[in-house]
Amino acid sequence: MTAHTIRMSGAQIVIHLLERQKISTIAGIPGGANLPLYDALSRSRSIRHVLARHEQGAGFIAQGMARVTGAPAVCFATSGPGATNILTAIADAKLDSIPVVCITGQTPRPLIGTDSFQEVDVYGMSIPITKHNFMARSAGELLEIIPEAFRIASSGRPGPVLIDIPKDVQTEEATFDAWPEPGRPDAPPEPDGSAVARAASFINASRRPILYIGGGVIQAEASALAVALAEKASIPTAMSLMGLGAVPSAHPLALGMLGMHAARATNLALEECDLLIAAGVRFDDRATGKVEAFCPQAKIVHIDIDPAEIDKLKTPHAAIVGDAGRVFEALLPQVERNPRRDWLTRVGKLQEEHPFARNGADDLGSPCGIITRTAELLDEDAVIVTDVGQHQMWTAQHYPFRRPRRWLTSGGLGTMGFGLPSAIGAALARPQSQVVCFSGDGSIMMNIQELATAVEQNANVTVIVLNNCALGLVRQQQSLFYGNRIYASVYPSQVDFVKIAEGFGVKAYDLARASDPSAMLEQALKGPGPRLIHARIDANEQVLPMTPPGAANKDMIEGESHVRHFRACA
Amino acid sequence: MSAISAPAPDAPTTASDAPARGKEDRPDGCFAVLELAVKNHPGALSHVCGLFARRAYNLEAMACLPTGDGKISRLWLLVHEDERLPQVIKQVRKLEDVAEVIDHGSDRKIFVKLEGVLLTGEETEAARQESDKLH
Repeated sequence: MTAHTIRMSGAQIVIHLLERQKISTIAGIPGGANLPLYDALSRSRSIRHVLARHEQGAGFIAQGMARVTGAPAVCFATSGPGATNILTAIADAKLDSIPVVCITGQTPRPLIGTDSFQEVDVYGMSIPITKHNFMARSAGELLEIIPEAFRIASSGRPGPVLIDIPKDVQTEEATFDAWPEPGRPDAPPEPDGSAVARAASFINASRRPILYIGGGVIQAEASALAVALAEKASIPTAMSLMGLGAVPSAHPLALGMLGMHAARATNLALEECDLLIAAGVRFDDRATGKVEAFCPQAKIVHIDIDPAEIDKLKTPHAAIVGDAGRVFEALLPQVERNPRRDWLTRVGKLQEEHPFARNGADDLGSPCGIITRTAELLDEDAVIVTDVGQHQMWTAQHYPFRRPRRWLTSGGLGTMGFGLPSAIGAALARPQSQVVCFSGDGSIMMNIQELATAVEQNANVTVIVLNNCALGLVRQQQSLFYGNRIYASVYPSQVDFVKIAEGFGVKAYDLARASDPSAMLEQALKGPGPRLIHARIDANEQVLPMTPPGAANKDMIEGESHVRHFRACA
Repeated sequence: MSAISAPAPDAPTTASDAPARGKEDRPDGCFAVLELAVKNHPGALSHVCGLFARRAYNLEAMACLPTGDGKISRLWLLVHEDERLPQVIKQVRKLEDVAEVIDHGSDRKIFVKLEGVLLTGEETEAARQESDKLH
């Protein structure tokens, strides 16, 4: 052997392999069981550490980076409570197929299984919420595990990978002759030619097709091809919550979001379509409503990179397993140009008959008005992040999404607390972009401690808190489906978010106290550094229209324009 | 990972099992045997068993043996055949620790032999030799 032998500790091996993966930022919190890793990290010249205030925050900071770049991002936590704290962010990444590599410290090997201090079986706990996980049992194994973790996280349908490393594996030394190649995504499967031809023939034969696209199209960087397909064959296009931004909302063929909080016309068009071309979607119940009643007249073409999604909830008439972009490329030459005037006229008529209510679009005291005005003040490079709840659905409904990877929201898991740390991650990965996080007074409290992280990182994040002194979406469901018995969903105490933000060193603005709210909003959105805008909204504002959970999408509760206005708080 | 387990001979089938659905290519219709090639490490079985458990899919019997140099084990699963099986098989194929999945349909030779051992206490010479090798 001519190569000289390398001798390093497990911790040094991990950090060096992360450097070779071109990781430049790691979010995390140190603790007893990952101190060797942190000691090695302190000597890295290319990796910057972002110290979060809660491990869940660290996990979401990594998610924010991964969601805007598409590349795997890394987070660290220690054993025991550090690990259990970070699991929510990992589960969230699993459900939205986000590539995250989470590295946890574990108690030393001889203590594993003895209920030692800060020991939990994070390997066992993370099996159902990761794409894959590892427990490193020797320092030498890390040479395989780390590149493999990156390969798995970014291949096919992406997802989170957790690596649990006992403390004595971090300190153990290993000798080896050469570094492994960094982990790279596997080449996606080649779309099956006959399935593509079959799908193309369905599209050419259909009279009323709809394209239904989701996160898989964003992940495949296939937005432009989706638009090209829609335009060539004149196919109206609906998006899942995760697919928003793939087709610009102002595009004449864009139908916006489908499902529970869609425009009624969009769900009605789906009701009438004779072909549904579903790409990078998983037929989630929030999108389909009662799945047996979804697109009742339609043949289904399903395109997905995950073969297990095919035939899971809807049996397709043509199925193509593959990367959405490559499938669109294969379909495009076989799909005939078709103006489809009758169908587009019909869809236009549905939109005319059921216009989407934009109550208060000009009123900065209403959610729709705040979202609309914010959009006017931002350019199309701005990253929009939300927490979970009414503000999330209002943003999905009213924000004019213009680009892919500029919309970050917790789709599958619906994690309150997602917003602020994910926005920080987005700002770290895209320092040139403005990042705006719409949140609610319920959600922001679930990770508000990360305001400290935002200040330390001087993250260019503006948090807009729509405050209705309530868990708004819970309150809404109680009011609509539980006989208006409002219980445990209204906050009796008044929290002064402006003071809290200022206490963290965040510049804060209160729209309710502004003589000219529009001017204040404009000023508040001008960076740099973290800012918080507080806006009081009416607790009776609802997200409408709405499909009651379990009902068919055609049976939406209509968006009423006569919501009574009284202030539930102050 | 080299444990052999099977339900007690008189174990009732659980009430939560969905009704079996007959398939033309499976005249027996009721049970299916899956054979998996699985990486032999302490977490691999958790991944497989957890997947079935999360889908409320009962594993009626399982047998597992290391093969070759011990890096790969073969795992046989006896499951009720119902309409969820194809989806579960797809999910099993996605597990990183599972290298191969063979669907033997209703051919349950391996478990019939095991049942023989458990019910009568009689061991075939071949099974005894195999067992000696393992211990």
